[in-house]
Amino acid sequence: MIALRALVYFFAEALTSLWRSRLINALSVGTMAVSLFVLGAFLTVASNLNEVVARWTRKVQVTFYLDDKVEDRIRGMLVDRLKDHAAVDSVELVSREQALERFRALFHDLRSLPEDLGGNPFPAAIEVTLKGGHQSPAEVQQLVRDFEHAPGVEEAQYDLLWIERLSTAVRLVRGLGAFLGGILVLAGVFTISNVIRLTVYARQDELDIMRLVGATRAYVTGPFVVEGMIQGALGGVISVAMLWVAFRVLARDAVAASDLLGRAVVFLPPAVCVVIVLGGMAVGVVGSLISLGRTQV
Amino acid sequence: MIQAFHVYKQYDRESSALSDVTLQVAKGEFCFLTGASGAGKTTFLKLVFREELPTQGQILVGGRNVTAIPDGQIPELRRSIGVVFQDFKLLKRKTILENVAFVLRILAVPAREQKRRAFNALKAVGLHHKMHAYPMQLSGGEQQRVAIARALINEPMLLLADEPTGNLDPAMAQEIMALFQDVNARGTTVLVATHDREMIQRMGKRVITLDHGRVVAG
Repeated sequence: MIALRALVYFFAEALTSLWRSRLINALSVGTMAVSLFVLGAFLTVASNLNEVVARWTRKVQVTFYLDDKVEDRIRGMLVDRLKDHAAVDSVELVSREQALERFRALFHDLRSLPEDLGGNPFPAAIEVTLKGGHQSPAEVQQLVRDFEHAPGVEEAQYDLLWIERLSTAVRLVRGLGAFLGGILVLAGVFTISNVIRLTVYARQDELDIMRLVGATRAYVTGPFVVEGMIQGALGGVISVAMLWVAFRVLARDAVAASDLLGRAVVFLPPAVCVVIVLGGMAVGVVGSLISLGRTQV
Repeated sequence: MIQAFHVYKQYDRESSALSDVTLQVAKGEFCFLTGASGAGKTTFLKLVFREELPTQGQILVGGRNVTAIPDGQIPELRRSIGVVFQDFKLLKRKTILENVAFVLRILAVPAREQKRRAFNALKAVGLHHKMHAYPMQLSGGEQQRVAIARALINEPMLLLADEPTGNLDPAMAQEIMALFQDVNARGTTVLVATHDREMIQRMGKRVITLDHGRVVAG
């Protein structure tokens, strides 16, 4: 009950103080919102790209294109050897006709191209999917080395390089986001701590009196900590709202991106939004504690 | 209630605010601390409720050595002492009712109880009709009475008053002294720092006299 009364007092004092100096407090809330917005934006981009990488990685494929003149026996042996390989999950033989069919299904406008070229230009191929846990670049390259010079194989192709590049890009985006967001969050801590310090200075007499009549340090500082926490929380809520608005505005471009990425571009999951708001609150509390630690309270 | 042993207080190297002060104020006693301006009255009071620490010496309040208590226990000590500050020390942004109730608020007394007791304390100093006024809207004498009401609201074991009648006319000063006597009669030890010789004589209580930081009588 005593703790509850103290909390009610902290919130009432904090809200009064926030309202009393609303302009300067808007500054800290704004700084916090922008910082968390930048962090959240990078997080959204990174999480979407990351999902794509994960999806692509799950079905790493190596395609061995076959010589047109390869005998059925050789081809059969090749398929069997691949099936026995430790890293291989499944093996699919795609005949020249099937390859042509696929091409026609994918590119309607170019249906007549093969005839124009004077026959079926597509080679037969063996598409190999790798087992989970055997999809590292080293293992993929080993498989390619083992089979690229096997009889009947003309060329080996694999998309791992692209995945590697994309993974690097995701790491870069995430790192950049953490770096920029981190700097901005520090700016948020700095702003909140300074705004709170101004309030503490302005009310120094009042705080002295409170101490002299027997208020504990926690009782004197509580409202300031709550004030920082509210500023951070407001910053967090505003940043999530800004992220949502930006997401909606960019939704049309996102649809185009979805086609490219093979899945819908999604907003941050609710749990992450909650974490952003909680993070803002934590930053606010840290800012207040820093300023209270530096001032005589 | 108060025991001071060889207390020294120096703010700078050249001068001492208090020098070798040894004195005792018994439990339930009503006592005056007097002396010219700068004699060390206010400094001594500050040491008693641990606003400051002595440079040397020990002070016991209610048997507790206030020079040695940890910081965390200072609030508890201050809550057991009512202090009327020379400059009143009222919260400017709170009404006088809130000012008086604040002491109870930090003790987490229920809101209704806070108001009831704060109103009664203001009534005792004749200011209940102005309970919604802010300190700056009151005269010096009225602010002093608010400070007195705040000091008494928690029925402290010890009341320290620094020039409590300095801004009051003689009639009001007498009323305040009567109030202190009532509190004293209920068991609170009272130590009043003043240089109002006339009032001291009229009250006929024990007097401790300080001169240049030393106890010269009492």
